[in-house]
Amino acid sequence: MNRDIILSVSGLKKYFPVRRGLILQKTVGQVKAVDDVSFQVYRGETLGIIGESGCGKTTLARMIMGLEKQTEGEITFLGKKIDTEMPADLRKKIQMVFQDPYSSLDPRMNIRRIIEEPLRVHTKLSANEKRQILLPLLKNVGIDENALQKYPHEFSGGQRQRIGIARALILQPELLLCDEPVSALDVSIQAQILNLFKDLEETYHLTMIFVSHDMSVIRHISDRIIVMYLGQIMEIAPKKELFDHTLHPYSQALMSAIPVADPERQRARIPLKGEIPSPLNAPPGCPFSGRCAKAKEICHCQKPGLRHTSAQHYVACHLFAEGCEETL
Amino acid sequence: MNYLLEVDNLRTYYYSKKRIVPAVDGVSFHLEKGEVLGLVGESGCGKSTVVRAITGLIDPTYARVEEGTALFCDADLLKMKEKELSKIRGKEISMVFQNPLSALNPVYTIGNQLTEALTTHFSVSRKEAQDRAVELLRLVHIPSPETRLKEYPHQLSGGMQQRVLIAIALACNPQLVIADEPTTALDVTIQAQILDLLKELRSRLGMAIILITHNMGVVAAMCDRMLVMYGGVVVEEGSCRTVFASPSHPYTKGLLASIPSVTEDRQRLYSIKGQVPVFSVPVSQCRFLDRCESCTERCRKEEPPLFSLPNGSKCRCWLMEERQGKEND
Repeated sequence: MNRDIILSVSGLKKYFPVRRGLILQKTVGQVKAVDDVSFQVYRGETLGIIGESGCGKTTLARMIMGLEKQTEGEITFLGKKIDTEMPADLRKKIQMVFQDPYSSLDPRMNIRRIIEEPLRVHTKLSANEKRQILLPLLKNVGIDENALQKYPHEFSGGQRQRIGIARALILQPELLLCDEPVSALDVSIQAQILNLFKDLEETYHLTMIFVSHDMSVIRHISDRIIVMYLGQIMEIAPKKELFDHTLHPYSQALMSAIPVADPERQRARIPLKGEIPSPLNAPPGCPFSGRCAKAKEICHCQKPGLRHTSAQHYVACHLFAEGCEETL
Repeated sequence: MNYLLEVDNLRTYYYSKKRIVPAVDGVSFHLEKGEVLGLVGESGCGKSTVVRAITGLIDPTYARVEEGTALFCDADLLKMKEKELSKIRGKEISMVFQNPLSALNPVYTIGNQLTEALTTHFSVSRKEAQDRAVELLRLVHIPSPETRLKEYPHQLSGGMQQRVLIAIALACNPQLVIADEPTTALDVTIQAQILDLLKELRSRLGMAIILITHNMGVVAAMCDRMLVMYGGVVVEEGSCRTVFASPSHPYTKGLLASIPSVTEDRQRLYSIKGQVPVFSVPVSQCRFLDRCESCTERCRKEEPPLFSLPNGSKCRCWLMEERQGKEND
């Protein structure tokens, strides 16, 4: 694989202040939505980010997109630092596909306007030139040319998601961010859209960050996977490595929790006690320590750093501390 | 044989200005005591409407039960008056809904809502109801139930709220619990906890469960038998083992093949072409026609009946006619 780094995130933090009071507002606490996250995205790969609700995966995606300003840390995209005020020529190279295909399309615009809008914002092409770009793209995402004059309400969820994808691809972005793009869809439609992503990945040589809470979707689409919990990265590994040698107790529990669609092959579940703690008062040590069956004393007081265990496999857990040099 | 619930030829239509939509169009099934039945299908297939019709929760301003019977302990639920029905609902048959936050009343405490079910159906004192409520919360593994009783729904997490809903559903020791997508709004680790809880309660209390879901994994983990619905009809019925091991209907096959797997890598997913159509009455063709890869001229002209297959399953597909014929010979 080409090891050209396209996006690099280091020490990224996003704390949301919690305020009390109407006029004289006091900050009474902080929600650590994303807490010290570092990773790289290589050109041509699909990086899957998985985690349960509240783990900060969407906040992370929004910061990379420049929709949210980070509290601390750096995001480097194509060699330049970016934040909410990134220049237009950089911004157009990151595009996003949203979760809900119903609220992410303007109901008063027809499909042509929706898909062409990025072109109108970022370029000065004539109507004919826009058409030249639009038509092959429509074919690739599987929307009929006659549909251009229609409005979003005339389409089903799957079709709308195709429109959203076309809109994200029309500027030929370097990086495509997908925030739960299939979780609002039915199983049979979800399969269509996942196949579409696979096809587009080949046609357009896409680099994607794919955020999802569904491990089976992530496994299907990603080359490398980040497991997040309570704003922190628990494990990063290439797909095969992660599934063959799952290291972190949280990743193991997460995988065993997924119901398998086969009554003969029900796996032994690793029961997780309790629930995700509120990010408002996260535990001082490892965020997972309160629910971890293997937690030691050190886990409750000291936060484990991401450690390199084997080729491209990083894990943040004290269990793997000995004999592994610290990297990243 | 005496079934706990026997639904026969249930039809429920939705009326709009433009057309009549057959949301449930001739559904028959039965449920034994203590059995877990899965009702599977994609959105719009009528799975929720089936149980809403049975429990009399359909909004009469736009929907109507056209025909059919639903015998619960030999009494027809569909012919009952509202007053009779409300004696059964919540006592003999109770429901667990999808979104726990909207199913709980935000202005009443957990204790209030738990005791409501008890005081409605039984003449019990406040003290007795309180004790039972604590017992119920303990049953669904909620820690420190006495303090939880005084809390409001927003103070609990999603998983805890769902546990409270299950506790409310179990308050009167029902014979049948209908769970409509009980884990869809929850995270996977919490979903696993809730599914384990439902399994445990079922073996302890022995109630029957109808589990409505679109998640094949949940069905595989929970159910004894399953019904696969499409376009308002049952397209396949059988024991979970049989259906997962050898699905018969092209739709069931496609649905199972289109799920990305967590245990193995597939290059491409099988995808059922097209999308779920909306029907209007009367339907006189196979409902899966336009999306089916093996449809014939006959599928276009006649709707197939539900064939009984040698392996015990039932399947609504003309392809199965031959297999059924062999059985009869």
